[in-house]
Amino acid sequence: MHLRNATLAAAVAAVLGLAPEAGHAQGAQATPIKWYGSIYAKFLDGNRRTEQGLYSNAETTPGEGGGDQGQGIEFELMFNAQVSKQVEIGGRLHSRFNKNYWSNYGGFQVPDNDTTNCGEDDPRCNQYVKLRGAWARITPGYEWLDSATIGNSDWGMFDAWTQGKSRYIDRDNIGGVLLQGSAFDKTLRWDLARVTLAQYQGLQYNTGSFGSDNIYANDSNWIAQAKYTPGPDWNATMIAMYARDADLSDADTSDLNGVSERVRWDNAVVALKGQFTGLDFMDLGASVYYSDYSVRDSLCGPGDWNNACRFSPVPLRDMDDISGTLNLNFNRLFVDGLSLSAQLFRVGSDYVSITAARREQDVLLTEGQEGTWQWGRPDYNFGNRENGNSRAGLGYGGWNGEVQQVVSGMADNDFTDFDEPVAYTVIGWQGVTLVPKYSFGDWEFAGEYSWIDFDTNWQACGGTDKDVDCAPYPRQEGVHSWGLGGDYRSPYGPYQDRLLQIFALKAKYTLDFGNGVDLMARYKYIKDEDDRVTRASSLTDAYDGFPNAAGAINPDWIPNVGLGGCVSCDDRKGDYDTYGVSAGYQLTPDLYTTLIYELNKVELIDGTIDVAPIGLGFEASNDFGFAEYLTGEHTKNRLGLDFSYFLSGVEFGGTIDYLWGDYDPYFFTDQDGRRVRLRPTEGVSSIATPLGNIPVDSVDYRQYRMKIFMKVSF
Amino acid sequence: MNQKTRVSICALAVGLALSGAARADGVKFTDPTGDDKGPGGYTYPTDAVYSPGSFDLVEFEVTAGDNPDFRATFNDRLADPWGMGVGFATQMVFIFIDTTPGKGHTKGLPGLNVEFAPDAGWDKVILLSPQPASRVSAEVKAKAADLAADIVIPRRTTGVGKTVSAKVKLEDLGGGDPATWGYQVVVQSNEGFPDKSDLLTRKVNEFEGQHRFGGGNDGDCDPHVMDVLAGKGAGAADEAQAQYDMLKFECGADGSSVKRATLTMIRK
Repeated sequence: MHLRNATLAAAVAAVLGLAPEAGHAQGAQATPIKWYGSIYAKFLDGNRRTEQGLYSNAETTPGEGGGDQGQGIEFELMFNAQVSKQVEIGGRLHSRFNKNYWSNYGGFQVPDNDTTNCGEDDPRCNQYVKLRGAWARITPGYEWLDSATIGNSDWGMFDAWTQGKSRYIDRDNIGGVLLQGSAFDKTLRWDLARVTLAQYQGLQYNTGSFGSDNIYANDSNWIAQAKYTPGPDWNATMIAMYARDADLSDADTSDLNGVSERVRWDNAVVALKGQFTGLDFMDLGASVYYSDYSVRDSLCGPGDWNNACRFSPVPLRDMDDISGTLNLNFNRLFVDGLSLSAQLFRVGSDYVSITAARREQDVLLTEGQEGTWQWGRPDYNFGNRENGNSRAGLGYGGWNGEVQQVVSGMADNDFTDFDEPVAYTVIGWQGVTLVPKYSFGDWEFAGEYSWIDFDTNWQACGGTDKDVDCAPYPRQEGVHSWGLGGDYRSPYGPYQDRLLQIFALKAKYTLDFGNGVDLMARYKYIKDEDDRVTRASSLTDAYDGFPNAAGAINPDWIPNVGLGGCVSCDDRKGDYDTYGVSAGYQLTPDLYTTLIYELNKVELIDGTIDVAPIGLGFEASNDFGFAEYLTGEHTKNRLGLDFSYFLSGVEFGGTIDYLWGDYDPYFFTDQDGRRVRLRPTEGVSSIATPLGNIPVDSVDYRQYRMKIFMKVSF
Repeated sequence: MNQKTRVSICALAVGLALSGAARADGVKFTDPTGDDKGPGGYTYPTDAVYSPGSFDLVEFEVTAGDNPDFRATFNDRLADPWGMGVGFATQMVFIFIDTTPGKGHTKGLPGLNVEFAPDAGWDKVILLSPQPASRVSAEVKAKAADLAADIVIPRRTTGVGKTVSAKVKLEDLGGGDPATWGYQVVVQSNEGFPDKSDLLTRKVNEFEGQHRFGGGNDGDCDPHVMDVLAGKGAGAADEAQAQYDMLKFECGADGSSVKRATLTMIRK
């Protein structure tokens, strides 16, 4: 470059604030590429004998699903390098689990264009290493810009209510462009990103499909946040996001001057969060989120609770809402060792954030419901193995891990193991949680009380006709207030008047014996009540004989349209008790083991034999449905052994569970306008309900499951 | 067993407990807020799990007794976003103790990039980590085998409210009176995927990253430390500057160390 031009360019750059700071462009320091990674092997065994994958999966699509059998191994290779002072790169190559069992030695077979034999041509079975994520981070040294990152990320710099973690199999496989900067001596930091929408982040889990007019490749979420931390006492964050899904305009059929696009749906969220820690006795935190969602009405057609858009993570009509939390933390309450956290929260029924966290983040203080009752799909009533829904999920035992609350309609628990957390959508939850903790000597105590009302407490979704007025809300599995534990991604019920209360107590004590025995005891009680239909005039709309279930509903059952006017006959009352004890011991410096026993009891009264999930459809079928009759007493025991063993560079861990229990069904019917217990007479072996002829005898369950893993990090 | 024997045993137990409590007093230090900047210019990683104040040490306490509690309190409520199961996740605390003045190690632990002044050698260090004790133990064996005899890993470390704490038997620290010892508390971050030679510590680079501190140097010449005790450990505002001065370092052009940050001990 000519000297004069170079000088001019430098001057312009300086004015624009683009000039690199001294030292950045000079002395570029390239470092050798660093390789690191892991080898992860998993050993599964169990008595469900399912072999559709080396993890749980609730999918019932043929060829998909989960499993409790087999052994497999993964290889992950990560790298990063400082290319120069201004450029850093990184990435991850991975041969992840699916059906790459050792028994099919990595899917190796003569290629035969057959994806049904779990061979070379089925990507779920072969062990090909694939690029899972790559990024380049540029630090140009401009005053106004700290860095630009292009590529894949988990977007953890944002929050769970807006752009959250999705981790669909891989931690960092959503791509985008991220600019980050700071000002005022780093007291103000900002992030601006354009995050490409994954193809499932849309209406009906779809933003478009290859080869159609419903384009998808440029759909994205724009998100910006500014964090201001002027000192140690307080900080504030503002967030704004705008996500949009577009397709081609059907009015523009000529491509001579390009093709117009139009919006299918768009979703904006603005938020303000703050924290104040300037008081000795209390910390204060608050957040408020406003969401606005618009969707083209014609996409889902006229309303029906069971229409073509029922399986959708976002609503089918325009809506907006406000959500938020208020947190008070008393770090020393009256005496040393006693603290109290309180959270007031509201998640509006109409709050929509398409990119909110699906899992692995928790937006509420409450520990929520119990993972063991989350969608195990063991087919409680009949044990029908031919029903694919019976084989999906984790079976009788459910999840051992904690329940994590998310504000996404696509809460996701596929590709998890039974010892991991389970995500549960809390759209519509509002209430208060109190969590006291007290430590004294070798004792630690913690408790919880949560009182949860629902913004989704409504009759016919706020109208008079469920088929019309509930049309804006996706049904998905539609068993939100049905069965044990509800369903983790179906927050809406057409008729609901629900109150959920959670009481929990936990005590820990380290017994000074040998290397110390870590003792734990816990008790948890969940009271879940739902009056459902509260006015007699709505009973016929709610319990209309279930026309959508034609062909799937029990043919022996005689519909009782309108429940004979009995408003209390559909009431639901669930009492969940959990008792748990465990003892952990460091057997050697490398080996830690924990022995666990848990007793779970549920008494559930879920309407009468005439009541089924409102708007019931195909899910009534015992051959391929998932709605089950569960009124009665449930008892579940779990005896578990956890262990972890570390050597330098390698970790072994595992859980072996044996679960047993029974279900003693109850039956209720309506008599003179009220609900009464129906006691089967001698010789009656089953009772007709919409969901099948339910055997009157108690049912026994047994499940054994084992997961052992090895992880070598190198 | 007669009533007199029971009373005698109870009296003996109470006496032992009281004598244990009387033998050693507790000790408490405070640290100014807002000095979680290492040598003065360090910044937090950009991921939201590293909330403001979460590495800002405000108080350190050792309780009395034969099995004292070592407590480090921060300026932010602890959280467990990574599911560690012990009430905290992002912090890691190194409590260096000078039980015998004039003796001890002047070398720091791998990953911290600090050393200790000749008159402030440490005799024992307690690691407060959310990782399982077995994992910490394995890391110590692999990365600090020469110092392993003086590294104490509590069998249980927990986080409640804003405080990370663990009990350690006095005999594991060589006995003595904790109130008379010198202390240095080094606040780092729990890194589950540490660099080859780092003892579960998070890197500090020139630019902060999603899971990396910023404001330092891309080499290993800078102290990988966010907060320490300084001055008299009384929480005075000038102790922030004392910390920045103590953590001063110098790097060569190739990222090698010219002058290491050198820590001192704080005593009551």
